[in-house]
Amino acid sequence: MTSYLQRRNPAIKLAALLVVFLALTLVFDPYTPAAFLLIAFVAGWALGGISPCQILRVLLPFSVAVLGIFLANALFNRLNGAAPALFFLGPVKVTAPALTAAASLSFRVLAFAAFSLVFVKTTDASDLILSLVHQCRLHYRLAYGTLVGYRMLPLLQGEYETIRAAHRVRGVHEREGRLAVWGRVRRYSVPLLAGSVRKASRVALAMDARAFGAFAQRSYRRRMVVHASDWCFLAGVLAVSVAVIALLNVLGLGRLGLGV
Amino acid sequence: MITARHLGFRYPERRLPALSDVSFSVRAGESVLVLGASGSGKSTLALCLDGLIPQLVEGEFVGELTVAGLSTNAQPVSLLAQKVGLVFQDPEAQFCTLSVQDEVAFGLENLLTAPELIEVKIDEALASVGLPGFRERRLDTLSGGEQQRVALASVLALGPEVLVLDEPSANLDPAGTRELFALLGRLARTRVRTLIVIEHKLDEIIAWVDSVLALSPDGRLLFRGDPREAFYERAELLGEAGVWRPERAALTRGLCVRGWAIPGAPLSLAETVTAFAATPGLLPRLAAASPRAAPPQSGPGEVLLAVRDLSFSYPRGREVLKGVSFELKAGEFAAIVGANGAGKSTLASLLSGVRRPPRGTVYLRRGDIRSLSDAALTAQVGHVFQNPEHQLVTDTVHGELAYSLAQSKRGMLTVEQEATVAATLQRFGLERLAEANPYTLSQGQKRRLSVAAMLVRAQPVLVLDEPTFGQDYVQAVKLMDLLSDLWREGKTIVVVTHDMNLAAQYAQKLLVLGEGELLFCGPPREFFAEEELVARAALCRPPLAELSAALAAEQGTDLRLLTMNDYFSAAGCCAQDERSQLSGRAVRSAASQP
Repeated sequence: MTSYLQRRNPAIKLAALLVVFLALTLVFDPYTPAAFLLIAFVAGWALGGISPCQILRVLLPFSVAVLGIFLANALFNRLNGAAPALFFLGPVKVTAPALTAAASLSFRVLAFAAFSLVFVKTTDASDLILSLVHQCRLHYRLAYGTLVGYRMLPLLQGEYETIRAAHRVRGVHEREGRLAVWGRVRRYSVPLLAGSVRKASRVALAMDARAFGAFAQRSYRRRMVVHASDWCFLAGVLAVSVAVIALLNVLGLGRLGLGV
Repeated sequence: MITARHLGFRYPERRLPALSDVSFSVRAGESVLVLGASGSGKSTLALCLDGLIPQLVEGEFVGELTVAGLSTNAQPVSLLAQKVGLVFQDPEAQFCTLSVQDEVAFGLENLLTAPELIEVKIDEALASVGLPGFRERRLDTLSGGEQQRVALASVLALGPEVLVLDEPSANLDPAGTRELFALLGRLARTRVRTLIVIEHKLDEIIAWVDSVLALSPDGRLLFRGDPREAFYERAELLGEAGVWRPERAALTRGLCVRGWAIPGAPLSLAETVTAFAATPGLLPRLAAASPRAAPPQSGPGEVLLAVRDLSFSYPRGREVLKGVSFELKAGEFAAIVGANGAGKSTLASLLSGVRRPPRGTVYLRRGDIRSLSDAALTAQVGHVFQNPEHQLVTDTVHGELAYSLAQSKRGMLTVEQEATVAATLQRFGLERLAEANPYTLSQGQKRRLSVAAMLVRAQPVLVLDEPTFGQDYVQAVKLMDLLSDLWREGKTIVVVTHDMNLAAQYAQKLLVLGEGELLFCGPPREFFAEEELVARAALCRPPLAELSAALAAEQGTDLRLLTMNDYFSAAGCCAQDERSQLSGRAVRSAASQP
């Protein structure tokens, strides 16, 4: 059984994602992005069939990086100079406006991540590519190039791991300091590149051998269409975004703005 | 159907042409086997047939090539694509979508086929490769054999008159190979399409091949004609050119050279059984000698590697190995065999510490290998990876060997070490390439380099993952002879392989894995005698063991011959020197003696 979000047209979903991103860039308080984060969990669960645990599992490791962003923005913010101190962390003065800005930024990043995750988890890669061709007029050559690249990512990752193991057997790690990053990058990238170029040209030949690019157009076994329900979904996303921002503004919690 | 006149092609970055002055013709409905050493231009020929050369691959193209009435350098590739279907060796590297139906539809969509018609053609194409009901499957959930059949379906959907297959079984396990070849055999016998097959597992396909086209190492036409002529009268010529040979024909020829008058130059299994039966005295002689076939010589050595109840799973993955236990003695030659995904490479990497086994499971000289440091372990066990390029760490051939020896003293070698490097390069036939960049070497040279770079440290144990993969006959023989020599010098050798023939000929001990369990551990002869076990492991018997079983059924006796030497000694001929079994050098020298 497919979920409501899985049944939505991928290009429309992408547009909806853009609406949310745009809304998030317009607010500068911590409450609105926090509300959006909550909505991502609820929508993912109710409309996408993704349990909050699934989202948390990806978001938690990501939160470590976000914590870094939060601390950096809270402690080393230029707003700290002018505003009165809230408290001191050793020599560092922490102020209310800096905390607010840091929290806002952190929640925004988390909300971006959560919505993107919901999008990825409810969208089939081939559907997205087809939809980009059909709805967004992306040229099919570019679209299939992207799809082939997407196919190759896991292969590339597997190959990277093999090369690492192979080099360890050659005794590479025993004799290298921690600073030999450059040498390592070079050692890994040559065989990886050699392998990828070979694979890519092979796929290109295999595609041309099946008449890829024969005509300016292709026919499609499946055509991605936009139904009225997809437009309703987009309108709904827009409405909810506006409503949340408006409500929080009326409550005096939200702060709209362009620029900091 | 195909006419080539003085066809030649040179890649821009190469000095010598890949193909030169090749002229031949192929009738409609003919099945042609293309042979040649690695680098002889087989794949180049395949790309020429589809017009990809010279239209998409740049280079210097001369001569004329017509396929199905179309000139390959004048007509657009998209038009040729409807006449010629191309299947490559690595199924993963020719797919461009994610699901079976999208993949089969791909070519049809490119040709603006109406969607309703596409649906019909997908079903037809999948049915013709024996995969009905596979439509909705994701490509990455299929086995190698199934993937290769989908690749075939995706070109068959375009209704080509000519099918070109470039080593289609190279990445498949024995079971996948068998199912693919059975399908190709059916296609060949209908004679609806012309088949051009580049392949080196010859015994399996020889039954339905109409003719042979062999290329010389420098890309010229070496032989074009009847398979019988190719593998009997011209066997030496082809052998010298580095092409693989069918084992049954090589055996028959060897017996003929040794004085047995076997009639009719048999190629297929059935023909060979008939011909052997028609040779006066041969079958009784084989049957009489068979039970006395030499027992495997597994001396009472020190236990070098011991594996105790080893289970292993990857993080977030299923269990790859389940309770595997066995012992390897010092100086043993072992082969790990099994279907794709049976855990062969994983087991090999755990033996050499490339992956860390759980504590208390793998012991080297009675010590848990988990208690050894990486450095201590690599000094004891060498591991040669499947793709030689993965192991390269420097810019020259000499540098690769020096790197292994230099340890922490960056680059500087002692006089003694320099001598070791020089001796090793000599031994592996790489002395003239010492200053070459490893990436510019041929497949065979790269493989030898990766073994040399490992071995220069003189570890007592050497583990090799698919050492003969992608190698031609001469290269494979050279490498196996080298390994044999090392084994004779007392090294313990473990190879992972799909090549049952190789396992049967060289290994003293066979480790058979099936879905993570050790199904068998013992001499190859005993394993291949157990038909049910072989089937359970999803493997096949090597061609000569299959022949032995067929002869036994014919004769109604017990016959357990496995290698060519078994046959020769049973038939009362002097055995070949063991090391050149594969090379057939002894056959040639025997033939030259009166």
